Amino acid sequence: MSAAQRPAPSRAGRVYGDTVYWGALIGAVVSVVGSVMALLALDNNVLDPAQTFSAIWQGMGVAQIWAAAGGAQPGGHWYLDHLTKGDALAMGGLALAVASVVPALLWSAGRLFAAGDRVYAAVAGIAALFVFAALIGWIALPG
Amino acid sequence: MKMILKVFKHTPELALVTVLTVVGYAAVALFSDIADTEVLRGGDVILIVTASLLLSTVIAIVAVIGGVGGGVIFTPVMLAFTSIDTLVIRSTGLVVAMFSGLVSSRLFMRNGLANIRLVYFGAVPIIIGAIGGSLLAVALADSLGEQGDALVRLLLGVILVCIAVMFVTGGAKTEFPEPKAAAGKLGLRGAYWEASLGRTIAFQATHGVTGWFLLLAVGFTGGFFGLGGGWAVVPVFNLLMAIPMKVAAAASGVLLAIGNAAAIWPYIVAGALIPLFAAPWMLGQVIGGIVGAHILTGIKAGFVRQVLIVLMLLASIRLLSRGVEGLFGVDIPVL
Repeated sequence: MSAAQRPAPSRAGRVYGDTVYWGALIGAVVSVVGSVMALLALDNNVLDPAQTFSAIWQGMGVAQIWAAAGGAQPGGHWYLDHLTKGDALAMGGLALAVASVVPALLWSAGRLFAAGDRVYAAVAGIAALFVFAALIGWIALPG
Repeated sequence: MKMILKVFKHTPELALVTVLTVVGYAAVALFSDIADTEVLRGGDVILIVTASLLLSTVIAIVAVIGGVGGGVIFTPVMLAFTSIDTLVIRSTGLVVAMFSGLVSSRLFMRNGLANIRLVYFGAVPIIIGAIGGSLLAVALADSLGEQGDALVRLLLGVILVCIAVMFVTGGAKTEFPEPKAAAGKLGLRGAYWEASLGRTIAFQATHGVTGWFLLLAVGFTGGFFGLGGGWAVVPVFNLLMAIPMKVAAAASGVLLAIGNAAAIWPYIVAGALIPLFAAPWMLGQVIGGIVGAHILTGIKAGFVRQVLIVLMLLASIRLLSRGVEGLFGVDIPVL
């Protein structure tokens, strides 16, 4: 069978795949820059790197790690307020990559809807809603 | 090795991220002046970061080829062999579980290996289950303390043994399953080009309702333990719903990324994902995930499953012993 006779990939799938792929790569680049900044400019961090790794290595809990390395455990999207600091930028890159799932799902849902596949368009929309609800903190950890 | 070099040659953006990562981390190794603490020397921190990056890359390649998600390897091994807090491991485990799936999505969608309907069919139950599991995990950690840690390790050890047995009994007969029932109204059918056979393979899914509820349970377990859930998505798709193994593996990776994208936000928003610890794991997943996706397109995945079985059994022995030690205060001299 020639390449032309192979099954054609769905447009909705391609849109989803392309969006999260580039989102993850851009996020990775931001994260590399942030990590390197954090480990070279040691004073320009929210959490002190040496104390952070020591606390993690000792098996401390999350609140203790924050207390030992930087202060009180924050809530919400704490990194957005400190994007000039290395570790916060690394976190921002990671968050950006994860967040790319939402537009990817919505765009893909639009393609499915346009193709007349309304059930799966709705399912993709519901999935996007769940991820978005978690992103904005509507779904939060207890305590 | 030749195949990996070919992937870099044909994916310039991957080469860019890899070069940036290597140069950046080399600069850190050469010029960083991290202070010693009572627990770690400055050099140890560099070693941990570099080892995390390399290990994550290898895990991503293996995980994508096996369709299991890296969390299945990362979380049990870290829980078994380090003293790092379970919440830190589980939040980082979700990063490991999802990023190889994110970056492999593009290739799988473009070559038709991942079916978009199949992915979205599984997305909602996986998301609901994953969020529920994550929330319960944190509640348990808060209320039970060290005993909760031990319980998590013990339960995870039991689950790993079950998974290993499932992979052993699944065997190679599941590569191209014959559907035993009609496809139903879900429309879960498709076809893909099987490069290793040089022909198109058509498939149609069966047992959709049962599969939906099983995926809900899989999502819950994955969210609870930070495994990501991919260990059981492949068996549900392949063994129950009669999806060909490679399509199941590809869809599982894509699906995991969506499910874990929902499960990880509560950790991020609560400050439970420590960026400097998680970043090298994420970067390794990105690099290894793209390489693994290219490899999966052209090979048979059987031998990777065997490697996974051995890894899971080894980790389970350690987890079971640590769980029993923590819960009952006995000393078991294992590993």
